[in-house]
Amino acid sequence: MTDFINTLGIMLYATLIYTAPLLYAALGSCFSEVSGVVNIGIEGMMTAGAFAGTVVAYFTGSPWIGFLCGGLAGAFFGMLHALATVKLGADQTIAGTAINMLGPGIVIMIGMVIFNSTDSAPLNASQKIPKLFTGVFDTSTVFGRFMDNVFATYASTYLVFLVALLVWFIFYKTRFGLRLRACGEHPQACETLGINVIVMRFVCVCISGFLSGLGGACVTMAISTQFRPISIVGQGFIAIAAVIFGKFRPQGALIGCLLFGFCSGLKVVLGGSSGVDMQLLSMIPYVVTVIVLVLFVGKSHVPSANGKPYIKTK
Amino acid sequence: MRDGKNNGRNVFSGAWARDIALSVPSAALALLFCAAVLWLLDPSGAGREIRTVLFPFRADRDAAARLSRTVGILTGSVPVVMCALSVLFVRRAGMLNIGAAGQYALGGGAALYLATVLGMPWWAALAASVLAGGVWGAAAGLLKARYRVDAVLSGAVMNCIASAAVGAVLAPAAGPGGAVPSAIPALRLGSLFGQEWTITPGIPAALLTALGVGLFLSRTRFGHEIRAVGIDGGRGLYCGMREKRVLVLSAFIGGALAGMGASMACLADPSRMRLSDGSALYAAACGLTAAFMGGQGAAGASLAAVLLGYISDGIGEASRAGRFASVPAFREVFTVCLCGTLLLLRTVLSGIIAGRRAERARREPYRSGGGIQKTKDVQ
Repeated sequence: MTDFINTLGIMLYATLIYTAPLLYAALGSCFSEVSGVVNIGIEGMMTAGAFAGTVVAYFTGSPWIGFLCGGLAGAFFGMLHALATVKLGADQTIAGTAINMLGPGIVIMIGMVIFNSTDSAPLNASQKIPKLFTGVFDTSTVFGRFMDNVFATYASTYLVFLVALLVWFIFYKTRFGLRLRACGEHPQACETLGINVIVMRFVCVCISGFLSGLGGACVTMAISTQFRPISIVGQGFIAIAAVIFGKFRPQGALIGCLLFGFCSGLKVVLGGSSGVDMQLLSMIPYVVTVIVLVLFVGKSHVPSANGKPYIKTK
Repeated sequence: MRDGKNNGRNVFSGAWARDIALSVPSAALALLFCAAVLWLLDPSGAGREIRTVLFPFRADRDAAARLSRTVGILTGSVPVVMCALSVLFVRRAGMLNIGAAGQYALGGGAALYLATVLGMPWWAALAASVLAGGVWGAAAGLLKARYRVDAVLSGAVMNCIASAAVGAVLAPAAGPGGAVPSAIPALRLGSLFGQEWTITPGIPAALLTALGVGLFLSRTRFGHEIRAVGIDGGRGLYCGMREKRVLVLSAFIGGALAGMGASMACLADPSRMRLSDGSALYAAACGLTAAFMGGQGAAGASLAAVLLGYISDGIGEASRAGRFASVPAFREVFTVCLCGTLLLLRTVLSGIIAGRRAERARREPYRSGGGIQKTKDVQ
């Protein structure tokens, strides 16, 4: 029984820490997709954020400045994507694919100059995002150990749930959110009401990049200790799948990310206890993603103007 | 020409001219951007490195060395050409084959497993790679055709699955011992400049495949169906075309081409039979870019792939002589970065032109002397 509770605690802990980066990226994807811009480049933005966060934290010694810079690096690539697709009318899917090549390429090259290697230098404990509630629970009891396993986690994990709440509030309780959703459904009607669709979409894609960058930074500054070219492999696409699963709503994306986070956590827990090949276990989240896509793509309500470039009426 | 007038059309208004007009400035701008990046990375040696990237033949002293480099560039371009043809083929059916990296990895993995672990002959390994790539491509096609899953999303996720699967199967099998694997036999060209020359059969195979893909798409009934479905699947349906079947089959052929490209690279040299982590990504990224640079035709895509191979060779040469000599995979990373820039610029220019066309069409809703116009292929 004690072993079961311990394993359950570790499982929940792994689920939470793997959910965090996915949820940051998925919330970012919600902003972009709901405003009517397909953002396939989430993966590239996450990679840029992962690198920038680690490097800045390494040189400044401050994890929070690093975390913020990770977001800003993602926002830079988001701005590039917005400029190409919203302002210049480029194909959104191809531009996103190009961002996925350009983002990792540029940051790895910068890494080569700084560290003379494709990997960054590892962060020490003070440079990583701090853990909250460590030492709060009495680990001498089973219940205390369970609570310590689950809740003594990184601050970025708690922050993402607050961000999810904030995004939900922005989407459904503010004027900006209403306009954002309207831009994704009927941009011509928005224009008639005097809303600048181009500016709205531009801002949303930049926010999308910022949140994706935070997600990337969360991977390298909390889950692992350094940036490597394989730090971000498929998480961006899984986040998009979570958004589709959640029917393009932040609360739905949260549930989707918890599911994928659980699958990633399962990989870690099984990898430690079973004799199954780690490479095979690493497939679990991707296989579940494909299954989710098959089951939920047709049932999602895609914003009507999603993926359609908007040309302002003159 | 109609009614003695050309209605504003001339030979330079064709699709090929538009592709060149879009691709050449994009390539020039991308090279300029990469030159700036090189300068930022290494200000002291940037001039020499940029010259080496653009003119790698400068370092070669004699004709034999130049010929050797040409053969090397063409050999290195073979997987890129095959991936470009794969992306082009699937793109004509209206899908973006992001999954080419996974198909390449799976094809290469299957070929290596058969050749190095099971000790089977090269032709069996080649057939297995074609089949493995094809089946993986068809799976993505089936997801698109049957369940309407976005091909980009499914392709990207399937790349991760393929990469993990290949790692899981090949990693335990790797190691010393076993029989000498069977490689694709090299073609002897005879004696030139005082030495014997051989080339990998991948070069003529890629050339023939490009020719075959071009003819297949433009001259066969199924090729016509692929293009029709790519333009508008719904309309194709009313003409008796089975959209789903066309999508799955074209994805199968596209995957098979990528898998074949992988085996051409992996089975060419018995001493270097391995599939490195970045090779699939590199070949797929270059192939994707080449397919867009080259426009709608197999010839254009192949030429663009060789051009990327040429630039990549120059980058490799520059990195060997410069400060990045000790950095692994610099050539691959820099080339992928260049491809990303090129693809972004190409699609931006394409978007600007499409926007202007749409604006012009909106201003001129009715044009006299119209008649039925041929539907343009999707860009």
